[in-house]
Amino acid sequence: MLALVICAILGFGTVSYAAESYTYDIWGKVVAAPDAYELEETIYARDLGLESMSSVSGIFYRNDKVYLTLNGYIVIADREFENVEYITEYTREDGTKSTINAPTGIYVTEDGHIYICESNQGEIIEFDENYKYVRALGDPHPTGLTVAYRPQRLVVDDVGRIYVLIMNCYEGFAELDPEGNFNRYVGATEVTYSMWELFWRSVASEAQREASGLWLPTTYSDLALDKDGFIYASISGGGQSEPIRKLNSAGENVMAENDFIEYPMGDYEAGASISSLSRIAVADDGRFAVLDANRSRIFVYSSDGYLMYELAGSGDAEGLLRSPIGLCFMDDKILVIDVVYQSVEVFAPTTYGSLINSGLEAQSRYDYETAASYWQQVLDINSSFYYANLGLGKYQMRTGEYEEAMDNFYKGADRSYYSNAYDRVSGAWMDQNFGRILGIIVALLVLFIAWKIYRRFRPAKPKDTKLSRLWEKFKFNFFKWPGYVLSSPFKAFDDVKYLDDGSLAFSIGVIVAFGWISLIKYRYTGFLVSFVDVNYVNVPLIVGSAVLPYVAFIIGNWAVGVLLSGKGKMVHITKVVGYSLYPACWLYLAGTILSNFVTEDEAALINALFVFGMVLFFFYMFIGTIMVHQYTFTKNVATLLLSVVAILIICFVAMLFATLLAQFVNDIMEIVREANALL
Amino acid sequence: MRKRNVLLYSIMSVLCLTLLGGCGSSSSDSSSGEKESYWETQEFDTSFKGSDFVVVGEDGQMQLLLSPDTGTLRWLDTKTGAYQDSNMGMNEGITNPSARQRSDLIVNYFAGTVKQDKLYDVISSYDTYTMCVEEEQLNYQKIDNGIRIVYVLGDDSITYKNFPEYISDERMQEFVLQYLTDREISSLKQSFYTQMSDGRWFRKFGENSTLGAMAAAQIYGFFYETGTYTDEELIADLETNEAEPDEYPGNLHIYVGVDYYLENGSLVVKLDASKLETEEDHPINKIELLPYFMTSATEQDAEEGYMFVPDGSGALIYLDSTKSREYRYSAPYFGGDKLVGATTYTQAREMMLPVFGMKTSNSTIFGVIEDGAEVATLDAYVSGQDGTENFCKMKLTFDIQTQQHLETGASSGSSGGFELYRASNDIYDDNIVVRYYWLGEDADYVDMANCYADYLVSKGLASEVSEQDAPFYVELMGSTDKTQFFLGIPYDGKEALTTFAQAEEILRDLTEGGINNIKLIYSGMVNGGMNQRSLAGGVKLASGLGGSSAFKHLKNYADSIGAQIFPRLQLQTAYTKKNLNNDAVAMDLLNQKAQIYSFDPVKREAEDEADFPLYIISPHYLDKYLTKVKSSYNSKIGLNTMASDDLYSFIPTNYKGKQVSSSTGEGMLGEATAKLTEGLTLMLSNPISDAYAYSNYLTDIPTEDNGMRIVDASVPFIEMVLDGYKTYSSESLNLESTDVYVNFMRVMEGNGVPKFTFIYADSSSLSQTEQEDNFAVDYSYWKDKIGTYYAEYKAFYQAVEGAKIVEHELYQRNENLRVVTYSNGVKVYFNYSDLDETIDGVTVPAFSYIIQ
Repeated sequence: MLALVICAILGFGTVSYAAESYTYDIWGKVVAAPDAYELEETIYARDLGLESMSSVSGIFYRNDKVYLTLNGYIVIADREFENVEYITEYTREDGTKSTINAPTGIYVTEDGHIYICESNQGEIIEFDENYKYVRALGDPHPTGLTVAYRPQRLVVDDVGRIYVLIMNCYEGFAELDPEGNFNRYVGATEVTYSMWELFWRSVASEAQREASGLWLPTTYSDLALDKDGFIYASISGGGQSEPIRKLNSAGENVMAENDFIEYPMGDYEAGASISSLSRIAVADDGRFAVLDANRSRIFVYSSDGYLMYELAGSGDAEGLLRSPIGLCFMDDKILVIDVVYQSVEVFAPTTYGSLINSGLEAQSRYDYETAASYWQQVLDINSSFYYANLGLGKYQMRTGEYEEAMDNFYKGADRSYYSNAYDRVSGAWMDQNFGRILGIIVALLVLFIAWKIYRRFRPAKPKDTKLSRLWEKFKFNFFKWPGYVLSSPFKAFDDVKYLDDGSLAFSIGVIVAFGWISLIKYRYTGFLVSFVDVNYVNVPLIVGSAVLPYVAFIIGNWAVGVLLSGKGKMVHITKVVGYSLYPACWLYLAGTILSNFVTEDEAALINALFVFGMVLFFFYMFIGTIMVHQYTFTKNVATLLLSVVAILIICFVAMLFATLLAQFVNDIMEIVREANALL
Repeated sequence: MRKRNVLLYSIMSVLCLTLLGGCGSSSSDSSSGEKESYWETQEFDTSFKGSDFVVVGEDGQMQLLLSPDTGTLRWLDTKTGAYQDSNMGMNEGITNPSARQRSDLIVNYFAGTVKQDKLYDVISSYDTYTMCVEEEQLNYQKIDNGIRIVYVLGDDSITYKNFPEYISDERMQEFVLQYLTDREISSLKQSFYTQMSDGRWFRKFGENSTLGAMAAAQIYGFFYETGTYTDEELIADLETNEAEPDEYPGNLHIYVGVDYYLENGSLVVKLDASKLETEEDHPINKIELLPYFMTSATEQDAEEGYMFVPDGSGALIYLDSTKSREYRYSAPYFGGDKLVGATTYTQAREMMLPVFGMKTSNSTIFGVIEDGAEVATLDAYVSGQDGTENFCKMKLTFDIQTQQHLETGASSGSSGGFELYRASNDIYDDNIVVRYYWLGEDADYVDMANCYADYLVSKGLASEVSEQDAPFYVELMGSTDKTQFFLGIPYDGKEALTTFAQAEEILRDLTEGGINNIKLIYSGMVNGGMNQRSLAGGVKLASGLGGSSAFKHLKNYADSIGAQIFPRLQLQTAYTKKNLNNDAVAMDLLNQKAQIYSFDPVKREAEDEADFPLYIISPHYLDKYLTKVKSSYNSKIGLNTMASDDLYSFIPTNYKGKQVSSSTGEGMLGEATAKLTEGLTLMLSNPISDAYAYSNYLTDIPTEDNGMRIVDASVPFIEMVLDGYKTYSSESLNLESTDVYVNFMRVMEGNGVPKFTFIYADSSSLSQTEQEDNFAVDYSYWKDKIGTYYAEYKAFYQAVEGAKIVEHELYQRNENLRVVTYSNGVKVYFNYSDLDETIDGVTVPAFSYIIQ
């Protein structure tokens, strides 16, 4: 906590970027990336024989045909946007003629049947592959729907069930059977509220609660159907932690969760989406794309939820958009409709983009060999595209190139694969070198015994040189006395109290060294144990959070001790803390080294080692404080608890001071800046 | 009498300013006092009268005619009868032209009150039609082969401001009431003034209830004619009442003199900005010069032509474009002032040549901004983009006073929002000269390019060059900054990307692969590497690259194979402030150290706490800086070749202390560069065209436009200008995009030299550095491929060796199909589409080209 204070004052450095395209690395940091898609062409209204496309509302692609909806029209064109056909009106069963009104959603089935949502008239209209009217589905009377039935978007699965997104319906998607009768709701989003909101809710008065309105779950913004029948759904509005869902037939979110990659959510900051995902589309190869209405960007993910690339953005250059409102895949291309430019934008992959697409496609066929060759080419262009490392690593695991695979899994941040690869590598190494290791151990043992025997017959004469004195002192300070503390803590801390034994400098040194060791631990802990970005070391934060708690404890405990007739002086408490922390230093160092040689299963042992260091600290510290303060067991427990309170108070005051200081500095800076502008 | 007022207030304000010890603004101070008289003392030629066109200039087949009543100029081709009018007042395609469409100039000035020093709020504008032609304030002077028009902009109308808002009863009696009859007094009380309880008289009319012409005459009569009220008394009343500054009367008059004359086949439009006259408190900030001169016909379907803008390599906007939903084309020449709006994200749209042009069905006009391009902005509108205007137009706007937008105030209640600007005191006081060429109806952008090349040659900015063998540009990156660790403790370390020995190995490799005449650009080899620090302490080799002995070895090797090494330096900018004291860094209008910001790609916000902020060297310091660079360069590097990626890529400015705006900065940059280039061969990176005088080797010349949506097709205009005069290379083919071969084809389309960027180290060494956006630069990846590219390029080079581009065609307006004809008769057909195409009977495979 104290460390936070320091960081608030110091501030952090940031990285700068020159390229427009970017991606997020495994730590959620924005890094530059090559363009994966480029604008190929722009289709304007006149290219489709239309006056205007100001009311364009949806786009869909199926089997070499592009379908567009706008007020009064369904436009059907081929892949080149030629041979344009229109549906403008239809005759119902009873002979009445109707015109296409204002369609809000469109879906085309595999056999070419077109479904549109006529939201305003509360109907879903179906046309066949010859654009002839089939039927109109009116209000299916979904259970519990209190508002007028307004179908917004829809998908139709293989067996003809229709999933409808209804405006102002909070129960999820309505599932209609092939005849158009209401079956059930699927995929209701749960109501989310923070502790803070709950707290306010509980203290708010009845009237306030009325005024703040109902707690409604967020509603979906769009849905799409992949070829395996999973529904992909997007939720608009920022701040969501799971704004994209992959729903199975039971309506559960089955989106793959990856340990170290953020859940797919467009742009994000601190684990929460800052995008407003208004549209979603799925490609046949399993990629899915979402459209961010906030910044006019499109994010494309692999079927397992990794961000592949980002394209478009807001602006007036080619490949940028103003107000995109719909998208779909056209094989490897991506079509986007923009309501301000009144156009269909056709994005085609660059070399880089198509290499990624090919890799994904090969991978989806379980053809890891072909995929690997694509991934290698992707890495040649962009060595920081970690998903390719994963693909490559998986292939290398099959071919037995475990060391290369290990490296790739490290870059791709997949710990379980890494662990497997390491297991193989270390196993092989052990197999090869087991004899040698055994030999070395035996040899060392023999040498040691020989040395002992030699010493017995010829004891060393104590030399009295400067060096040897220094060595003796070193041995005493670093091993003998700490060893004495470890073996007989009561006696040792008693000596601290009454004989003023133990070195204050050494204790302070230990606490400082502990800060440094924390840095070493941060930077060099093995991949399987470490969960931090080792390339970004925030020294004040790490050292501060390692050292400051002990400093705060020394002060807090001393302060409590003074109040509660403790006999310990600040010096004594410092010594207690220093010597108690000493074993933890060694354990941390040992754990850091060992952590580089363990598999995932053994990683727990390393963590246990780190925890054991802390346990030892508490154990010795407890004894130490009893001894120096001359407390009873219970009184010591009480004072320690009070010390914790004291630490919190210290933190609070420090925090308050820091905040005020920051505010003050900020204000001064602002004044300087404004004065500057006026000079 | 009103004119006298203007004079009076001007003098008063000057006096006030002097009394206050006004802070030494140079040109504006003296302007009103002395120069006010300049145009008034001039004799004007009153013989120009009537609405018929009279010939005022003649040059070959071209005539310049003037319609004296409206000031409209007509540029007439006597051979074809085609003409272009300076405004649209007489255009038959427009039924009722607006005042702006009838104007030759639109002058923007700061209209609001001046807050503090150089803080302005409202910007207003005068157009020549309403404020000059309708007021009959056009004045003429006959000049050699043309006419000088002196526009006096402004009117003398009586407004509420001529009468005090409050006046004491005594003074009202003394100056007005005692002279009026009872009827007149009651009329005054009824319509104009009312007496309040404290005896004072309050004016009933004002900003919101305006004065009709009749009423104005009546009350003016009461006060100034029947009564003895005067302007002096008005001032006294206003001062007694502590009136707001905008309550003071003032009918702003602005004087602008513009010369129009024919010279050597071109029409020259020249505006001497030093003779602009306005009031101290209302400085001119922008002038739109001939905003409706470059216009297309109103029946746009008939128009086959295009507008040419020098965006990137050059770009065309078709006159029949229907992209009225897109943003218009708008960009400042030479990238504009880097110190203004530096923290606002904009897409790249740099124009490095001061030209523009329009081809219509009956004429082709090509404009060169001879003077003032550094403050000019080009706007190009397609039909339907600017309101209801059903024609295309191009217009130039010149910034007379650099201004930084400070803030936009929110509108509250009845009062609208406000804008606040801070303006520079280094006002543009040079000539603005635009030279228009009439290239005839058959001319196209190739003729424009030739015209401009001839222009450059005539100005001595270019001369013919030739290379021994097909040249090849290779850029290597030296070292960069990367955090290193010592036992867990991070420190600022270096990462070597290509050492001198490795550079030598690459050179050897390339030579053995058959590549000759290599121009090696070595980036990041001095003072801190790629994030080059200030050179104020002298140039020295970056550490970790092998030191001076290895560099010497590299130089010797390069000499032996005939390769040239161009160490690449940043000369107008430096990363971090180290070694740069406050005088050395330029300061912007907000009094902050000027930086070139990088932008976070997600939110597009300026990174104001970057690890390596890029500071701009002050123009005052530049000369000293470059002198230091030169002396230490000679001793430490020992080469007479140098490359710079930022010299002349923008014009340095400074807005603290002695202010330097673009036009002054341009001169200072020129002087400093001229000294630097003595005895030094300089290679510049897509510089402003002024720099062509200093550099025979150019690099990073764009092969495409900047991709604005409004633009229809990109053409290799810069390349056609430079062809035969400079050795120029493209941007690195392997950096910007992954489609290297397409870029390679574009290089050949412009008859340029290909360029590649490499690092010897593994490309993963770039991660966690500022250079991590350089993709696919790993030399090991390109090692085996580069030879093929060179062989292909060499075959092309030999086919067109010594020849120039004489024709360039977008085949049937298809941007993907291009035909380039050379002076030796060779035709090259390019197909950039993903389908095989037939051009003029020649079938060209997809993404390929054919030399015939």
